[in-house]
Amino acid sequence: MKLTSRLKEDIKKYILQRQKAQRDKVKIIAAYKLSQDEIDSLKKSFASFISSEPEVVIDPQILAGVILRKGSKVIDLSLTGKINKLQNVLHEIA
Amino acid sequence: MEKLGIDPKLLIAQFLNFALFFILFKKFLAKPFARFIDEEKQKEKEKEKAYSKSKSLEEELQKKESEMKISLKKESDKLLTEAKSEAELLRKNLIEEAQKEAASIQTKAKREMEKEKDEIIQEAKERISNVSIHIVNKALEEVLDERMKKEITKAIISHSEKKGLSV
Repeated sequence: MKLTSRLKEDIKKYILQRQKAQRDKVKIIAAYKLSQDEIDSLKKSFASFISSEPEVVIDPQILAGVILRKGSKVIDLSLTGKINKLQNVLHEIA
Repeated sequence: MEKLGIDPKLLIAQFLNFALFFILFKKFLAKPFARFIDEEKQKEKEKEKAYSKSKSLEEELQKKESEMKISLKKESDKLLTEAKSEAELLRKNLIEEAQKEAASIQTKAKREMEKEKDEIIQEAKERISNVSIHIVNKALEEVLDERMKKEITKAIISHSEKKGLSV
């Protein structure tokens, strides 16, 4: 099947839009289901990072706190992250 | 003379006989015999001369032999001394090299032992820290309830706000 140049252009545009949307999409990973107040508080605190409506994902593995993810950028505010940092510090000083 | 029992005819005959014998002996036997005697004497002299010559030659040879023996002994002694000193030098060098090698092996072994010890200590520390972290994780999993999680989350977020966390 031959694709016309217009169709190609449309597909390219669509893919780029999807990629941009994916990049701008913010994911909040929390240990429990966050209340709207907590989400609003996070939006307020990280206004420059959370530019669109975030997707909230629950992951009990992080114990407490949240992880904010936007494309390849990550802000780790989880208790597991803190413990991992502590572990790294222990490895460095050991 | 006859009264004395001497017969002059017989005496003359015997005298003639003796004279004839003397002439014949002198003419035919005495000269070759004397020559033979002279020749024998000459031969004896030559033999003696040859004997003395051979004896002096033998003495000379013995002297040379003894001299050669002495020089050979000296040479062999010299060679032996040289060989001994060379062997001693070689032995010293070998001992020195062996000592050096042993020292280097010892140093290397010490270094390796130290390294291994450090690695074991490091590994133990890492294991301890890993186990500690694992225990902390497990304990927190057990201990934290919804309320505590909320409080911790709130505290972390407010702390991050204060610190102005960036990506």
